[in-house]
Amino acid sequence: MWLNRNITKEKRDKEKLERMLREFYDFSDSGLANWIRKRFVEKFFSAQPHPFIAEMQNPSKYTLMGYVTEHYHFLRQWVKSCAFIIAKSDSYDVQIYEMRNISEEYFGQGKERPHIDLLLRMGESLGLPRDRVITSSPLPATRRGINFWNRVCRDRHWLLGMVSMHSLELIADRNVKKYGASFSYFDPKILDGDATPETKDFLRAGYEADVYHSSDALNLVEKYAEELKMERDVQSYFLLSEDKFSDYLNARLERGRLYEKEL
Amino acid sequence: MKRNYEGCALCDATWGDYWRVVDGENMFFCCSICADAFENMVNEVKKVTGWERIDEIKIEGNY
Repeated sequence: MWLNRNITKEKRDKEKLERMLREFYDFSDSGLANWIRKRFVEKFFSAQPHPFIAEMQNPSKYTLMGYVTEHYHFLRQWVKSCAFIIAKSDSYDVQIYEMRNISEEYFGQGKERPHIDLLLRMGESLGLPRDRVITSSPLPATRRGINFWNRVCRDRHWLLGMVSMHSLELIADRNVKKYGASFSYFDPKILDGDATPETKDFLRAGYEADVYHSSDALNLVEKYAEELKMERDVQSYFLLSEDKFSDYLNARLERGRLYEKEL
Repeated sequence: MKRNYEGCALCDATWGDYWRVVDGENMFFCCSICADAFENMVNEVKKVTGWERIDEIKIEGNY
């Protein structure tokens, strides 16, 4: 399945396959950070995008509700992962980056509300009480993702945790079209349409924040991967993480379908 | 069962060498995961429609 999705669906002889694998992992032309951006775009934003991205071009109320519930669990893990990275790294720039990130998630910045609160408010505006979200259990794919990100950040080198987490912020990066994306995370017309004000607030905050989040983090990843000679491991963990992320995005859709049946 | 794929009955890949009898026919799959998914799909369609067998299947989408 990995070969199908990343290399080719057609059977190749050993020499050809070796060459294709070398080409797949080669980042010599534009650097490791851009290699990650390119691979992420291929997986989620191609002409046949991930089903969640396709749905987000014109999301139903139920999809957004599913998004709220699964993402709430994701964010709770997110700050734990950032904290593991802070605890394990001695690099000042990494610690500062992670602390800012945690702060925005839980405390907000300046007059902005915390991201986790913006998320829950979006849910409430759609008729999903925050207590219901907070007391829910994540769906299995979300749980598997959370367990993976927890394990990587707790048990592996902090740089592998960092790439596993922060490469995922590319999902909301406005610049993905520069790297060949056919779609953006959502159709920006939503921000001028008839979505609830709380939905617009949440989407706008992510849209604005994740640009520098993912860009700064991937630049740090590139710098330390070279310094620590960990480029290959960084690539491998990025690929593992984006697979878990893909399944987790499907869980958002699955939760949306469950709400649609129930409500 | 007529199919629109020549490779793996589910994903059309030509890797692998996994065979399973589905609906009385020995079919090529790239792996057991695809075979499980294809078999479940066929069984589900039969269950929902009440059909005893499926003559042709066309799979669209390749995310």
